Amino acid sequence: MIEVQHAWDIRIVLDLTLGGMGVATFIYAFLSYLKGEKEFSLKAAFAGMASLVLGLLILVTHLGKPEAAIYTMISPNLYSVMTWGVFFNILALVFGGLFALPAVVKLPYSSNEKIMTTLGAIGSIFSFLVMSYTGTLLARSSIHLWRSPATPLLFILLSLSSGAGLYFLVSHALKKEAPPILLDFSALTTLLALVTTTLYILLADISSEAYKFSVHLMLTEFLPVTLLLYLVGYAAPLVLYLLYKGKPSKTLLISIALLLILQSLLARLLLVYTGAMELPW
Amino acid sequence: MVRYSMVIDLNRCIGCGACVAACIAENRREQAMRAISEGLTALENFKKRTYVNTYIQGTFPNVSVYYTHMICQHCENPPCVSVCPTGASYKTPDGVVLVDSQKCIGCEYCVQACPYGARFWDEYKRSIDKCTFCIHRVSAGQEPACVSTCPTNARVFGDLDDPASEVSKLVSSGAAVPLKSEEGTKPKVFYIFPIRKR
Repeated sequence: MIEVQHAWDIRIVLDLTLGGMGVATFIYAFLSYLKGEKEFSLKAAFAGMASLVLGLLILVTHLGKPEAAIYTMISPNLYSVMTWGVFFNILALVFGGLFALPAVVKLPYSSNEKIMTTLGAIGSIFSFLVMSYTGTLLARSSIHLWRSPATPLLFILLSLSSGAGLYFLVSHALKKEAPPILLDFSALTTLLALVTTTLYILLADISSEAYKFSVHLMLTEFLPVTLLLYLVGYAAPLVLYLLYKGKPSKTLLISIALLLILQSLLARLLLVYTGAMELPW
Repeated sequence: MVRYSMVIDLNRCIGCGACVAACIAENRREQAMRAISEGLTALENFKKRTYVNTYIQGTFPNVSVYYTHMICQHCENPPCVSVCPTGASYKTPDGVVLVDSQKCIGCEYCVQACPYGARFWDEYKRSIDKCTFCIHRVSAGQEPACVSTCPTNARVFGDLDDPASEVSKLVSSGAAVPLKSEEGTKPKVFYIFPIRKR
């Protein structure tokens, strides 16, 4: 018997989306900091960390007994991907937070280049690990659609795309020019995410019954979401990117940014909600 | 060291559901009483540690009916234990997979990891719940409630490492086989399939 998973819902989708987006923005912000854009980078990094915190707060509402979460620290199971995810999230928040906080409060170390670079570098490492964790979490389950090396890859690509989206929004809000290389990079990650998602669908024919059922759901019950993902999440940002390359405009950039964030949300939503497991009977 | 195991003979099962009722009476009495007081919807959504499904096979006049049982498989290599972030899910030295409800945070990662669908969130206990092989009864020298209740002895419980035990004989004879062995979880619940199905 094949059963669609009901244990994880939109709150997990939002946590993974906001978390992945936040850490990717942080990494971009740190790279921009290294290039000399000090003040703006700290604000962008702060926006990234805020997104990560928001995702974690939403995650807490999903936990059946959040007050027991302390046990992840006092009796962690080091074989669990989730345990590592908790560590990575906390460490990304601590180092990333210390790096980004001077954007809003004056701190004694903020003028020390060496300390700031170290904090940003460590924060970026843990941010990348958080990004990888979002997909690995799903890959270590009994749900065949998720149990694939493509899941962490897709989730990293989605994080990089949406992170660029948030970065563009922050640059627009602070009246800064978006780096053209980041725009090119987000087009590349969108294209790769499109290919990966399509492979998920194409591989159904040589996969298990549960996997086939998940893809069947994508193409029937969840067809509106699938179409929305392909048209609005993947195709539209690529078309707008080409238009922007021809004639840059703020409206186009904001549209691309919002679509990149939507792409990440829709793709994760589709994958989480179509996850099905094959029970023995 | 013992290694507790169960064999479920689907040929012997008459689908009476006594095992399910005994399990509820032994382990989930308060939850059942609450569901009764809450009404039909709560009763329909009431989760059981073990359940029996009816399958009708074939076309008239060659029709047969058989009953399938689901229960925690108490795997040797339990994926639910390895994914649990707090160690709330654990395996005892006797090979029984249990949940420490105090440590359970309700992330339901174990629900996603179990390939048998044997786990569920218990709102009443605020913890993941599942079959425990009635470890409290077994420790007191009794059999699990479902085993002692079954009128046809369809469920057999014992030590897999004891060559003289019935479960050990059934498993070593090849008559009883595990479910989803391809998952590599090495379940310790074995099934004797209906003759017509085999």
